[in-house]
Amino acid sequence: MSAFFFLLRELLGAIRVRSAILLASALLALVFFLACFAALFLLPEAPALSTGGLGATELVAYVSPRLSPTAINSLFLRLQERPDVQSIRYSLPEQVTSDKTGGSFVIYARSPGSVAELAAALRATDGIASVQAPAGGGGVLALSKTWRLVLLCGLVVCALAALVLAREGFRALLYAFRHEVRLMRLSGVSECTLLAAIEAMGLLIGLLAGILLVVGLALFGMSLSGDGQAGTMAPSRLLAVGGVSVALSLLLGGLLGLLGAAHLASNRFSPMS
Amino acid sequence: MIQVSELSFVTDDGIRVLEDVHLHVDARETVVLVGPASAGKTLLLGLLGAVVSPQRGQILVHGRNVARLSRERALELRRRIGFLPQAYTPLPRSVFDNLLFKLRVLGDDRDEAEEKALLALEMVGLMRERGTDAEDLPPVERVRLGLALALCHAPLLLLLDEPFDGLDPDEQEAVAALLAKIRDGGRSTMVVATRGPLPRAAATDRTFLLCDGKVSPL
Repeated sequence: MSAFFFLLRELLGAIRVRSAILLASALLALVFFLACFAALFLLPEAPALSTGGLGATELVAYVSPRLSPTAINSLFLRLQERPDVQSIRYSLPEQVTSDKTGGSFVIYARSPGSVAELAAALRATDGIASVQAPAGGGGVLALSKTWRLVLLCGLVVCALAALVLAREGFRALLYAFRHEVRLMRLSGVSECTLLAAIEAMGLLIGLLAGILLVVGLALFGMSLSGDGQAGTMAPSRLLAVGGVSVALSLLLGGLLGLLGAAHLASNRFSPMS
Repeated sequence: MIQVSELSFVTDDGIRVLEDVHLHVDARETVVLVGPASAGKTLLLGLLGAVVSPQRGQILVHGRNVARLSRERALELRRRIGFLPQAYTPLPRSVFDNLLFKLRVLGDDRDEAEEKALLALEMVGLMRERGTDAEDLPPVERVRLGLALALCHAPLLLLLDEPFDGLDPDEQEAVAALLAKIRDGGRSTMVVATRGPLPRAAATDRTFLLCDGKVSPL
């Protein structure tokens, strides 16, 4: 065991500028990979507008058919002045599919967190027949299909980048360590000792990426609660995604270590060379 | 100690480097293999040291058939052999740390490794240079460091590949005297491969010529 820790320390000490840059880049790629993974599992799919769904900050208020055009205009102006309303647009009765309505207001709230409160205020307003709010009462961060596709592509690209960068990083590191490897092989040091140390380095990279992601998720969760959207991301969900991400990062770190250890098959490390 | 019989070796290019080699070396004996460049001296040492796997023939080292050793057993055997490679390149660290590295990766704890390293440095006369960067050492001191590395874990067999290579006559005499001192210590069997001629101070029990793939006594 002492030989393993000694060798791991020596390997870490053999990191030079080139290998450091490559391995740090691999770590960064791994963090991006995990961020894409976490976003895909944390954020729900946004309902498509073409199917009648609403965006995260969008509400539709149906106006009572009894209201006169002057009253509608007055109501429009009153709603427009609300601090939680970003923009508002009026659709004429003939543009609205619902029967028995005096038209509708399509309202965009300033933030997802203010949607629920705005919806409640609209329902209590005279002259508003009904209000249509986003599913779950609003305030939900959601991903459109396009964004999901982008994240999926990012997932693949980041994983490949991490593998390639780590492979090159380990190649540079082991090149700097080649005399030591030759001496070890000539002296009869078990190959497992060396492989275990390289594998441990891969796992360290994975663990570091996992920790960075968990810290990022914690900050994200805190920023949501500060923004009044605590309900949109349950802590248990964040915890579960964080745990799975750490496990995934360790798995990928192990894979990176294996890729690094594969370099040892090169003749460059032969004890007789 | 070492028994080689009917040993043959053909390279990937089809060159027959060793052909029907027979060699017997007793325990604590010092044997010198003299031969021209590319005669197969390094290969023969590699075969004796279980670094290269034999193709045909039998090699018994410490009563173990090298050809039939499992990977773990071959490593175990290698740990009992001290090897000075040709044109030995030290690790880019201090002389003392070169020895510590080998002993620590072989499983010694720090105190044990330091004790063994100091003993080996004392033996080869490098105590004063222990803090020097090994890459800054002159050629003869590098050979001394290589010998210290080969000796530090008290091996039963020492395989020295061209220890006089690249040294001037005085330095060769100094290394030969050091080898004689190690031989007189009488703990290890020693096989030295060299292109020759041997320095005057070289003390050997027997000398063999390795030429055209054959080993014959000189």
